[in-house]
Amino acid sequence: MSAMIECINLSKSYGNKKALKNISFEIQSGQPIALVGPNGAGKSTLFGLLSGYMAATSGEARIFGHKVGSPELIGRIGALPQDALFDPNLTLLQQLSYLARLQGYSRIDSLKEAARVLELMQLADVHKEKITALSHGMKKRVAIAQALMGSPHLVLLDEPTAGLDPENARNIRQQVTELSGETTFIVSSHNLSELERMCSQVMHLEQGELKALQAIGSVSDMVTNDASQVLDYLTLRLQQKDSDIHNKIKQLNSVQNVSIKHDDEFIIAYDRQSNIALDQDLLKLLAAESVSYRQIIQGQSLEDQLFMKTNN
Amino acid sequence: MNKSTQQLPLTQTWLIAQQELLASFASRRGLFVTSIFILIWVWLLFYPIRFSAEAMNNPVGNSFILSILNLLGLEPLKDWLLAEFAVYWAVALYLFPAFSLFMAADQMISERKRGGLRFLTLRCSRGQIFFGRFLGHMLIQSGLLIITLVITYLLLIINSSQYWLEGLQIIPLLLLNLILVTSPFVALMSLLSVLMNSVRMASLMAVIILVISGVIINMLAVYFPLLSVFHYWIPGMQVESMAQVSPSIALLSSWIPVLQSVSFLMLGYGLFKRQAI
Repeated sequence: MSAMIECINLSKSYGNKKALKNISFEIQSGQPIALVGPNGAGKSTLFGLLSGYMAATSGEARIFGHKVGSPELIGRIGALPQDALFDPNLTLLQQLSYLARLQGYSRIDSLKEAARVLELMQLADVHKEKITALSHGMKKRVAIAQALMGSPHLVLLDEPTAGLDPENARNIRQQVTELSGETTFIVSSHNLSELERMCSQVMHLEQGELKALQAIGSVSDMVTNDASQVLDYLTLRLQQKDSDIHNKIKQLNSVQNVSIKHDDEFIIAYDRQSNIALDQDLLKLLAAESVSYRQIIQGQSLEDQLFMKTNN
Repeated sequence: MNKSTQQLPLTQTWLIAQQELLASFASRRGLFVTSIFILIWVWLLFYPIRFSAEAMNNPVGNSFILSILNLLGLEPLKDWLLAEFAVYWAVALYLFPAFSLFMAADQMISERKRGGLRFLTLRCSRGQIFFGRFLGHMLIQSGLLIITLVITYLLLIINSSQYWLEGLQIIPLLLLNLILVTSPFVALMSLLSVLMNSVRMASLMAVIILVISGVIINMLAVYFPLLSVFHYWIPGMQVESMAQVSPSIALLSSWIPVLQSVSFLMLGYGLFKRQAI
């Protein structure tokens, strides 16, 4: 099966500044994918190239086997572009139904489709408003609604929840999760805990380079000398800091390494094949030592996975 | 349900043209320019055109108006049977292209600046957007032409009802001529919509191209006569001669605006295809 997205030596320069440097990767369709990286890492540029908003300086990007910008891709990709605004003179329904008509809907069906996506974004009651009458968060939701129109196979969301209140951000996450069966989402955001909840893979860009494309929560770790050994993780959060427990956790069977993230948070790397019940051993240890815990999480957080420099 | 676009490319181009029509009249700028246009035409039709037509129908006692027509080089208009349309022809040949420069100036600039084109490019090709916008503005110009032609016809009926059939016959000919004359101006604005970053700059650049390029070509042609061929790239270069002949003869020069329009559109599309939006 060919990859959903295939990028080969993709580069983009703005004058002398290289926004993307020869990145190559393949992504299969399926669960949502997180795109992370600091400001200026090249996330929006990558989205722009995949959406055909701009041409690559060199290299090639293919989606569903077709070169980006090919007529075969029309209507199969949805995108939330950063900072794009609708026409201030037309109502939401007028604009969304027009976009739906361009996607092949009849006049009547286009109105239904526009109403459907507005309903998904909880904007049904403002369908007769113009974009200028809406708040920043509502404008963002309208732009997300247009990305979902026609149920495209691939949806690129560039910071979909930035500027949204918690309830609406939650709704966006919920929609992404619900629709991810038929649609593959690629979501960029600075909110790592949000991405962690929505996505199963992460793509990490930094200074225009692809640092990692991997599953969230697991990684082939460098702690062990055996490069082929894949370690699993438990994240332990305590009610109160307790430095003594650190060494005792290290003594547990199969534990390879215990990193201290904060005084009250430990990341435990272990060999799951030699002890599948480490979580139970850990609970027993905590009970025996009368240490109260807040959370035990399978895996490590996305933030830890990508950025953490821990103390051992 | 996934709804991939399976429409004919022309269907989408037509949809974009229709939307341009709607958006142009929905915008404050569109309404402003249209209102000015209507006001000027109402004034033109009910004063200069009516009086000139009356003077041409009854030369006695109207020598002043006729001498102005002569002065403007519009003497041949006196031979027209339909005086109202004769004056309309002379005025419309200049006014419609001039207005189209301002009405068609914002084919894409505002939308590109606010990022709105990004909503379109995943649903249709850049060619459909570019040519759809041009078509939309040509429809606007055609609509306005039809309105003014109908009003002129009504004037004709009021003044000289015996020519009702001749009036009906000349309308399509005038319309075709004026659409052709206006098209390179709209096409030039399509090109400038791609090149310029503000509507004001696009309009200004159009005026500069129309006024200054003629002067420059004239100056250069003194030393390099072959360069006078570049006159053919200036929209409206044939209008002066068209104003002095009948619409059927004027059609003979229609290849000039057609060639100009095709050139501007091809150049504009070539640039838009590669432009970052």
